[in-house]
Amino acid sequence: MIALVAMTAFAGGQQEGTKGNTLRVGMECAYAPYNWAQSDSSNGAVPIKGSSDYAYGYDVMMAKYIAEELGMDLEIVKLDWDSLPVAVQSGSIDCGICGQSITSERLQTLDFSTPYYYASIVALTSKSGPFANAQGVSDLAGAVCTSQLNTIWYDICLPQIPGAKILTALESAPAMLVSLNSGVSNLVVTDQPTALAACMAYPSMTMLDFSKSNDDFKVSEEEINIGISIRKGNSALLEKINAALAKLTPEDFVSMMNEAIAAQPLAN
Amino acid sequence: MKPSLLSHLQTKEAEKMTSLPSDFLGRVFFILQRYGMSYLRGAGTTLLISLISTLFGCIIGFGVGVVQYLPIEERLPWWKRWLLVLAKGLLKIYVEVFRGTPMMVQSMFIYYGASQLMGINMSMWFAAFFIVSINTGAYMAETVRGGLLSIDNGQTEGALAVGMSPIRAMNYVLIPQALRNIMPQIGNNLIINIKDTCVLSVIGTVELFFASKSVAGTYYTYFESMAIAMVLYLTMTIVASKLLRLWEKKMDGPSSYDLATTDTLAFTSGLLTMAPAKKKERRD
Repeated sequence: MIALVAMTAFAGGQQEGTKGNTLRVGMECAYAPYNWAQSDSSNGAVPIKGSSDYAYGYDVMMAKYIAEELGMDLEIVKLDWDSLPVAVQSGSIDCGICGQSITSERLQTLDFSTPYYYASIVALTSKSGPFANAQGVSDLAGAVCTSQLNTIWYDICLPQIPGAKILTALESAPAMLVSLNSGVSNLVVTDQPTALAACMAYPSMTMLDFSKSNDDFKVSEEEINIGISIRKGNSALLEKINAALAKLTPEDFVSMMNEAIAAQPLAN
Repeated sequence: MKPSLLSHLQTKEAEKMTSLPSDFLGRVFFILQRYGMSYLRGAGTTLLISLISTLFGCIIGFGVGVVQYLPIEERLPWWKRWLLVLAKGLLKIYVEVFRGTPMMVQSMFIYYGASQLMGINMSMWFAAFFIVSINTGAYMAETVRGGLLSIDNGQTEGALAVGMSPIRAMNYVLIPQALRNIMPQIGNNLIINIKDTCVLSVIGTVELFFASKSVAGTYYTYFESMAIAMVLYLTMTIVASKLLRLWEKKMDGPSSYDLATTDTLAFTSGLLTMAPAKKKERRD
């Protein structure tokens, strides 16, 4: 009881960040090239709230653009992947710009902006492994595979591989790559920017892109879209963000992502 | 364009191997060079939260533990007894709830729940201290109760017999002895807190674990960044346990002492009749 009173009293003094003219954006700061943490402000990185590190990456570039379009100050909040949706719903942050794909499940609890990136799906495998020269999904038959928890890669793509042995989903991209590198799995499915970064960190890995063949992973168009999550019903902010995004073309997205890929710490 | 971008980046990578070495130790040093300060700041946050929260947790634990220890005596006026029963009941609920649910779930529930249900936007720091303190308090309450129970009844009876009030007896006789008995447990709690603050990443506290997760996600090097975190955690816990051991030793006082044989008062009063200075040799 005393604690509750104290909590209320303390919270009273902590209203500085709510609404007003600050756009509070949540991301992991651990998902290169979408978002990562660095120790200085090079490239125009933004300070992370409650930390002396800085955040940068495709998501931060996008967040900066949107904040500028909206005439708001930008605040980057570093959060765990699983707590990002909760934080948006509860209003602790205004939006999540964190590489979330727009799925029908997520749309039940969150609103999403129009896509701010189209992430094509690729597979990663070892250069010396049995699938290094695969030309399509059917060539991956019998793969021991995994991917990230709560992603379309795990839920929709992996079951399309004939005779695949699907391992438990992993909590993050680095964990998934460790699984592949250590030989626990021999194939992982992820999106192209992550795979490019992975190939830099692990030169023994190679990326399989079937998008030019007829034997690609079959996903609906809206499922590879990556959007900005906003609290359900916050249509004022949603409209403003959509208006800002409407000024960009898919080609702009690609060139911004290439810029992020080139600027990520792995590449420098 | 995609395969060409990949091969371009990989050759660029091969050209200057100064960027990310391929061997384990090389990667560890590379990460330390660039993110060493982030690790240290993360460790600082971890240490700050666990130290202060353990302190507050102990204070809460002592309060709750003492109330739980108090006997409900028949000779108290009815309203005092009723109040004590009510307080004990509420505190029991508090202890059971916080001891019986994971701290990660509590953090999510308290931090985001306060925001979603009550519109209270807590500061992340306050939430972190609050959650860890109240958790430690729940564990300490039971420890303190156990510590008080471990003191022989004769101590209370003796204290009351020499004319101390029950409160004085508690403050000057029971609690100091109980405190010494539960010191190892306080140390345990501190070490548990140093490790368990890692669950605060769900509310965005950038402590050591979250800082290393950042590095893992930036370079996609899980083993290397977690190895650094492990060494730092181990250093903190070992130093903490050594310091607590020293403090325990200090509380115990000197381990050896000399029997006073020159105390004339003791001799004349007849309490001590013979100086036991020389050892008697056994001879058969």
